[in-house]
Amino acid sequence: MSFKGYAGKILYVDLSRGKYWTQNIREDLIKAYVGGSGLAAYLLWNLVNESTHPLSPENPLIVATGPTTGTLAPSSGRFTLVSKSPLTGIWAESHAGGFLGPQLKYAGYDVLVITGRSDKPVSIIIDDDDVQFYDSTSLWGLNTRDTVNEIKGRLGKDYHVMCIGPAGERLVKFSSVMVDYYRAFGRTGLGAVMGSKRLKAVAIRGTKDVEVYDPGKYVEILDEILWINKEGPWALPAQLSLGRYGTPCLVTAMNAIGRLPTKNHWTGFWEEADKISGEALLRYRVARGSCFSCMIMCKHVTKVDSGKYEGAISGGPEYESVVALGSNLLISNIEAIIYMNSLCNLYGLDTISTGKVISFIFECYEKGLVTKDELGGLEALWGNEEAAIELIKMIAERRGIGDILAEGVRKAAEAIGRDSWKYALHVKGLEVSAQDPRAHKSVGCTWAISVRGADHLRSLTTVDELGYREIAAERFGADKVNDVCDRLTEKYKGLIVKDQEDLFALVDSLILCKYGTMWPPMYYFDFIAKILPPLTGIKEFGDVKYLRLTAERIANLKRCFNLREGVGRESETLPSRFTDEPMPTGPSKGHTCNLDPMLREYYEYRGWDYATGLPYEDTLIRLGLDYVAIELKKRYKLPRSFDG
Amino acid sequence: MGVQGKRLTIDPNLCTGCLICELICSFSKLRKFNPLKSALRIEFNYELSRLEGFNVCSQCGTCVTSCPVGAISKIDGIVIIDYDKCVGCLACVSRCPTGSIYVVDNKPYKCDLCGGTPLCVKYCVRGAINVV
Repeated sequence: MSFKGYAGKILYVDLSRGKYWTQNIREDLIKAYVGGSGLAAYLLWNLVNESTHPLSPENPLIVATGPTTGTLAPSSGRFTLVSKSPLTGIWAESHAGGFLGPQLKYAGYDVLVITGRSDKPVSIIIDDDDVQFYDSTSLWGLNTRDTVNEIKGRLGKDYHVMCIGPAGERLVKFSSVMVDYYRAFGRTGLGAVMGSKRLKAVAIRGTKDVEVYDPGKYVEILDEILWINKEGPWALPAQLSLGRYGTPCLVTAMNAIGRLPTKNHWTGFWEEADKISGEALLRYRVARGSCFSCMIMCKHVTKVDSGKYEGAISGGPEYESVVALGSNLLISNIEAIIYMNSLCNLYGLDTISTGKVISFIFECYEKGLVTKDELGGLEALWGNEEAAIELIKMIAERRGIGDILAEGVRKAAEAIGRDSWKYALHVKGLEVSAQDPRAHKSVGCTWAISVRGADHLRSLTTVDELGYREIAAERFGADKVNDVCDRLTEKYKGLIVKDQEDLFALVDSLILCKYGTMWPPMYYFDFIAKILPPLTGIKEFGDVKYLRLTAERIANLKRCFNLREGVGRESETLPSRFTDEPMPTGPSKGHTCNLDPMLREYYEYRGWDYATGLPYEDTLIRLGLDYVAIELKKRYKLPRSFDG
Repeated sequence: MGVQGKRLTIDPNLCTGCLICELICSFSKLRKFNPLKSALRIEFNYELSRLEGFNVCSQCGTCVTSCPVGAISKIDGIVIIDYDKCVGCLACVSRCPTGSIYVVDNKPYKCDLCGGTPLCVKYCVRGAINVV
C-alpha cells in the first residue's frame, strides 16, 4: 500500500481449520472507509447477512485499528471489536483502550478477522508474521486477570492480551472482552462471540514501524496537540476533572443537573451521590494510569485495603460502572461498588448491562413480579449489596435466575412476563447507559437512533448539555445557539445528534478516544482534516467536505446493516419510563422526553424517510453505497426519493 | 569532561505508562513510530499501573573507550556516536554496563538527550521525566 499510517494488511484467522492468511487492503476502501469501525463495517456487511447467527462459526469477530493507531495522535491507543451482537442481533461495536491495539498495528496488521470455531479452547498468539494457536484447555474457566498473567508468564511481559472470563465462556449475552487486565470491550456481548468460537485469548507482540507520510508536517501538528493538552483552554479543566478523578468526576456534575440514573432510572437525582463521587473514590486510588499515547490520562486503579471487601482491586470503576452498580441500585457503599466492578471485570461482564439487569430484577421484586423463591432466596431490595453481588455471580455462572438474566434485560422481561417489560430499560435489546433523556433531551435521540442500541458513545453531545455557546455558534450557526444550548428543549437536537454521529463515525474509524472529541470538545472535523493528510498522504482527507461525506457514508452503512437484519424505524423508541413518566425528583423534575420531533428532524438531516424509516435511494447513491442500495432493494427496503 | 551527571530520570509516582516518551523518541530520531526503537525504554506493570523500571543511557561514558574506531565521544556531559565513523561493530553495545545502547538497523543507538533539550521531557504532560 502506498499510504502511510497503515500497515496495509488484514490478517484472517479461521479457527475451524486452524489456518491463517493475509490480504492487502484495497486503497479505494481506505479512501472510502478510513479504517477502524468504518472499514470493519464494510467487511462485516460483506461477511454476514441476515441469516448469520451471532454465535455461529460464520459470524466474524473483527478487531480493527485505524490510521492514527500507534502514532502520537491524541488519545489514539484505542481499537475496536465489530461483529453481529448475540445480545441484540444487530450491529455490534465496542471500543477499548489499553495497549493491545497498537501492538496489532506494530505486528503489521490493520485488521484481524477471526472466524470459525475451534474444537477445543484455543488462544491466538501473534508475533509479527508468526501466528500460532495455543491449546487453552488449561486456561478455560480462569478469570480474566489469571488468564492475562498466565499468558504473559508463558510468553513474556511484552505481549499484550485480550481475553474472556467465565461469563464469555458461558455465553452470557452481555459478557465483555477484557484487555490488559482492566480495559474492557464492554458492550454488545462480544465476550460471548469469543466464547462461541472457544477462543479464550488473543495475545499480540509487534516490532514493526508505523510510518508517516510527511514527518516534518506531523511534528508541527504534534507540537500543537501538546500545546492543546498542556496549555490550551481545555487543558486545565480536563486535568482537574478527568485527569484527577477519572470519569467518576461526572457523578457530582450529573447529579447537579438531575441526570444521575437512580433506582433503575426511576429518577435522575440522588441525595447520597456524594458517597459515590469521584472525590469519594479518590481515597481508594492506588495508581494513576492511562492508555497508550494519551495526554488526558483518566485511567486509574482503585483498591480496598480493609474490611469486608479487602483486597478488591481493579481499574476504574468508571462513571458508567459507578452509576450502574451504585446509584442505579441505591447502593452507596463505595467499597461494595469497587468490589462489584472488580468482580465484573474478573468474570468478564459488561458493568453497564449487569447493573441494569440487576436493577430490573430489583424493581420486579419490588413490584411483586418475582418472588424470593424464584430468586433463590435473595432479598432483592434496593440498596442490598449482598443480593447484587450474589446476582453478579449467578449471572456469570448462569445459576438459577442468573441464567435468565444472562440473556439480557429484553429476554429476561419476556421470560418473567406480565408488566416486567416496563422496567426492562433497553433500546434494541441493549441496556441503557448512565444518562437520562428527561434531563438531557438529545440523549433520547442518541439512544433511539444508536446503531448498537441504547448507548451514549455513538452520538452523545455535550454542547447542549454544558451550553457551549461559542462552539454551538461555530458548528450550527448563531441563529440556533439558544435552542442548541438548551438541554431541556427538543429543538435542533436531531441536527446536533446527526452531526455528532457523523463525527463519531469518523473518530471511531481513526481511532481516537471520545475524550477530546465528545468532551472536552477539542477535536472536530477540521482537526481530523489537519492530521490525516500528513499522516497518510491521502490529500482528500484534508478536505472537510470529503471527510463529512465519508463520515455520513460510514454512519449510513451501519444503519443499513441493521435494516438488512430487519431492525429499523419501529425499534427506534425509548422505554416508556423516559417518555411517559415525568422525572419525579431533582433539578429536572417534571420533564419527560418527547422523542418524535427529534427523530423527525434527525431523519430529515439524514436523508431517510421518516414514515418508513428507510433511506432514500438517492441518499445511498450520493454516498457511494450503491452495493448497499442493491441489497436493500432486493428486500423491498428502499424508497426511491422524497418526490418519487 | 564537561558537565557531570546529565541524564534522564523518571518519577514512578508520576508516570502513567502512556509511552508517549518512547513514541516521540523513535519519531524524532527515526521519523517512524516504534516504541521498540526508542532510546528510552519503559518497564510498566499494567496490573498495578506502576512504573517498575526504565532503561536509558546514563551518559557514563564507558562506551567511549570501547569503540575501536573512536566514533564515540563525550561532549559537554553527553555521550554521542558519530555515525560517519561508526562501522557497526557493536563493541559499545556489549560493553555498556546498563544495556542502554540498543541496536537499530545494525547500528548502535542511544539517548543523546536530544542535544540538551530532550523531547521526552517536553512531551511528558505529567512532568514525570526530568534531566538531573
